[in-house]
Formats: sequence, structure tokens, C-alpha cells
Amino acid sequence: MSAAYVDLARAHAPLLMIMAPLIGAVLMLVTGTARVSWLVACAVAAAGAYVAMDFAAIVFGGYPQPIAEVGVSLFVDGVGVFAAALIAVAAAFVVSAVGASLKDAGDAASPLALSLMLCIAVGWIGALMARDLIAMIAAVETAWLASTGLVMLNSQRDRAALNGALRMLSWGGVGAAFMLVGAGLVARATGSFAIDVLPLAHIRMPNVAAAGAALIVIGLAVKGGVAPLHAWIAAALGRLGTTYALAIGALGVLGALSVLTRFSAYAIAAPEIGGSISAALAVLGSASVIIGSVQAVGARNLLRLTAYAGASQAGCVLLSVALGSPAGFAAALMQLVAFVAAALALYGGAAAGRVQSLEMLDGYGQRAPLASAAITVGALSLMGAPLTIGFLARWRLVEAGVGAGWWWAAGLVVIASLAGVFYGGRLVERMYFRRANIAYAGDGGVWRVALGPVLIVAIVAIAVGLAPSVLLNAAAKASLMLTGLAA
Amino acid sequence: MVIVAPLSVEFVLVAAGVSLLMIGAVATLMSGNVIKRLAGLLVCGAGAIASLAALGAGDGALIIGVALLFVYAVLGVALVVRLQEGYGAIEAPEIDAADADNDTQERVS
Repeated sequence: MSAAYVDLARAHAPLLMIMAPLIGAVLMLVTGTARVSWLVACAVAAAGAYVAMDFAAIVFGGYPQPIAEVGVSLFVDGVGVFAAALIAVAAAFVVSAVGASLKDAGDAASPLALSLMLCIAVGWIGALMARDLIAMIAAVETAWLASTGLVMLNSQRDRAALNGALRMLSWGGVGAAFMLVGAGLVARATGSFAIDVLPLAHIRMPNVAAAGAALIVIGLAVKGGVAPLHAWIAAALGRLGTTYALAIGALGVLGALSVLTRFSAYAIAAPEIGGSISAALAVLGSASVIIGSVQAVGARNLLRLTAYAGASQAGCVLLSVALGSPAGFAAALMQLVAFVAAALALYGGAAAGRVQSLEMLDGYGQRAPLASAAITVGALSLMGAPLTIGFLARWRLVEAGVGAGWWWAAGLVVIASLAGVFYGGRLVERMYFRRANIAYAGDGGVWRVALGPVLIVAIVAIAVGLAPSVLLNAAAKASLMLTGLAA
Repeated sequence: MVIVAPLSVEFVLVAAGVSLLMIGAVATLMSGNVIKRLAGLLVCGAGAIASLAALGAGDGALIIGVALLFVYAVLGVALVVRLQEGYGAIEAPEIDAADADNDTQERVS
């Protein structure tokens, strides 16, 4: 009897991945206290992560899994399953980490913040499962507006968050308008809003379709913090010295880059426009690697440094996708894993001690050993140090790039890694080789242990570079399942 | 001629929509005044919806476009009020300068 229910749940797994956090987001608004809201949020986020991981294990394990086609029309493909599982797991750990800052936020704001975080996860997972462009845009905007609301909510603690929210609203709004027009142009040229039609459709007006796809890529690149379209990121994240930064900087950016990867993979597979999109992604990716690396080297704020390093990493994702081969898509998925692990480690490490400026890191190794270890491992991954997931992801990009004759892409990876040595090394030097000159600003309460799981998981994820076969196999299979799992 | 005429009308309508979009985008990203930014965003969104309509998008797409524009407008108005309360200003350069001052003071202290 129970086996029948399990099969039924598995057949509806894509819908459950969206519904579990969505129901949780609504429940947040009726639960009374911050602690109860947090417990409920943790439960629904864990349930969503379990469903997503179970579904990914079935799909990439090679077992046939029929997917029920009822109600909302969802489209499940390899990239979507891989990235959705990543987002669901990251969301579960981000929500659990919020327990550390409930005391600061208070009973009034905490349930709303948790609800918005769940909406961010729902939005990005929904966009990864969307069949048509308009549904994808609606889901993307759900996540983006929830992110903007979360930043605005932090203005109760620091008014500078309002400036960040203003930039998110301005840049995100323009990005949304671009995506809407882009979707209209693509539909006009192909005769359909469906994403999966792109590689197969006879495109009557290739220039119109290419312009539309480019507008969608630009709109998503704004939300993914890809340089030079990342003007919102420093203002929004630079003063978020709490666990909220995990939701925006790690979960939000991961979602945007995942959706960008999925859409670009379909666009590149369309013979008439693939070359143009590939070239646009290569230019944007190269600019993001260089600009992000330079800005990270010059940053004096840990949160901004992490955001700029993320822009550099986003550039590597775009370069991987631009290759347009299964090896390139697999490299992009590995880059996404490396990005989210490093972001969780760095933002989580900063949130543990409410670190903002680099000066606050002086002597941090003695004051907060676990947080310092997480920041160190995250920095090593950003450098692309051997035996970390960051090294593995960049190595895959170099392999795929050299295989396609893109030697210059390998050069850009080396530039990103060298810059990582500068800014990552600076973090390690401050934490372990300087004396503290600023009083520890961390919460100090027992609830600070809530940050423990996210820091430990980030460290373990980065250390996956030691035994990466499962992850590499899943990424390779996901890249080969672009045309969907079931009709 | 019968075929060319509707295409020309469509082209003109799309061009007008895209022009609105670009004018709104420039106003949103370049204007110093937050209310002008919000107005620019609304123009930009209206241009996008007009372009979608001219391109023959269905009702669903247009409804989603209008809904998005409405939510952006509501959030934008709320933000203008909060900025005025928090900074006593709605000029972006003044807000940036106040944040830069805060950053400097925190580094010194």
C-alpha cells in the first residue's frame, strides 16, 4: 500500500519539488512565533530537498521514471533535474541557518523572511521545470521579487539595504522587460513559446530569434550577477551581514545561473541561432571573468568580495555553456556546484561573526574556528586549489575548452585562478596571521549553532574534489538528457 | 501589397514598443531621482507589453506582463516611501553618499 503512495509521489516529484516549499511559504504567514516558523520552514525545505534528491538519484541512476502529466505542464530535463536538486538542497541548508539570526530579526519579520526565502527556492525550481518561456519568466520574477523583498526586509537592521533593493528593482525590472520582449521575439520566429521546441523548430526569422534569445540571456545574466550587468550586487549584498546574504548571494544567484544554463543550452542547440548565442555567451563570460576578478582583488568588504568572486565564477559558467557541447554543459553544472559550495562557505562564515569589512577578519581564526575553516576552504575553492571542487570544475572547463580549440578559455580560467590566489590569500592571511582588533560581533547565543550544518556541508561539498565520481557521472548524464526525460 | 501592409504595421508597432522599452530602460538606470527611476521602469514595462502585443502574443503572456508591472510598481512605491523615511532623500547620489559615509565611519571605528 505504502509502495503505491511512494510511486505516486515519485510520479509527481517535479510538482512536489515546487509545492512543498510553496505550501511552507504560505504556512509561514499563519504560524505565530519566529521559532515555530523556522521549524516548519526547516521541515518543508528538508522535504523538498529529499524529493529532489530522490528524483535526481532515480533519473541519473538510470531507472525509468514515468512522470505524471496532470495540471500544470512541467518539462523535466537533465539540466533541470540536476540544478533543481542543487537548489532544493541549498535552500534546506540556508533555511536551517536562519535559526542563528532569528533573535535579531524578531517575531514579526522572521516568518516573512522565511516565507520569502522559500519563495526564492520555489521560483527558481519552477523556472527550471517550466515548459514555455512565459511560465519561465513568471517563475524567475517570483524568485527575483522575493529576493528584492528580502533585501528590503533587512532595512530594519541597516538602512543601506534599501539602496540595494532600489538597484535590484531597477536592474531586475529592466531585465524582466527585456525577457518579455525576448520571449515575444522568439515565439514570433519559431511559432511557439515552448523552450523544448527551440532545437527542433524550423526558425523562419533567425535574426529575430537570435535577438530574442539574446534579450532573455541578458535578463537572466542581470539576475545572475554576471559582470558587467551586476550593478545591484555590491549594494544589495555589501551590508547584509546576516544569514539573509546566504539566500540572496548563494541561493538566488545559483538559481539565476541554473536557469541561464538551461535556456542557453536549448538556444545553442538550435542550428539557426546557436552560433550567435554561443558567441554572445563567450563575450559575456569572458568579460565577467575579467571584471569580476579585478573587482574582487580590489574589494575591502568580505561580502562584496564574495559577490565579485561569484561574478568571476558566473563567467566560467557562461564560458562552459558557450562551448555548446555535452562536455561544456557538464562543466557548467560542475561550476554551479563549486559556486554554491564556495558561496555558502563564505557568506555563512561571514554571517557567523557578522563580518562585513576585511578588517573584521583579523584574528577570526581564533574567535570562530569553524567559520574561519569554512571561509578558508571556500577561498581555496575559488582559487581552484587542487583537491577542491573548484579545481575539478575549472579542470573540466579547461578540458572541454581545449577539446573544442578554445585555448583562450583555458587562459581565462588561469586568470580567474590567479586572481583567486590574491583575494583568497588575503582572507586566509587576515584570519590566521593577524591579531584581532575589533570586538567579536557574533550572536554569541546558543542558536548560533544553527549555522553549523551549512558550514560543515559547504566544507564537505568543496572536499568532494577528493572523490568526485558520483557528481561527475550525474553532471555527464544530465548534460546528455537535454531533450527531456519523458514525453 | 496585401501581405506587406500588415507586416509593416507590425514592424512599426514593435519598433514603437521597443523604443518605449529602451527610453524607459535608460531613464531607469541613469536617472538620479528615485521617482523618475520608477516612472522609467513603468515606461519600460509598458513598452515591453506593447511589443508583446504587437508580436501577437496570447492573452496569458500579456496578463503576466501586466501583473509583473503592477508588482514592480507597488514594490517601487513602497521603496520610495522607505527611502524617504530612512535617508530623508530620494536622490540616488545623496543616498549613495550617505552609505559611503557610513562605510568610512565603520572602517575608522
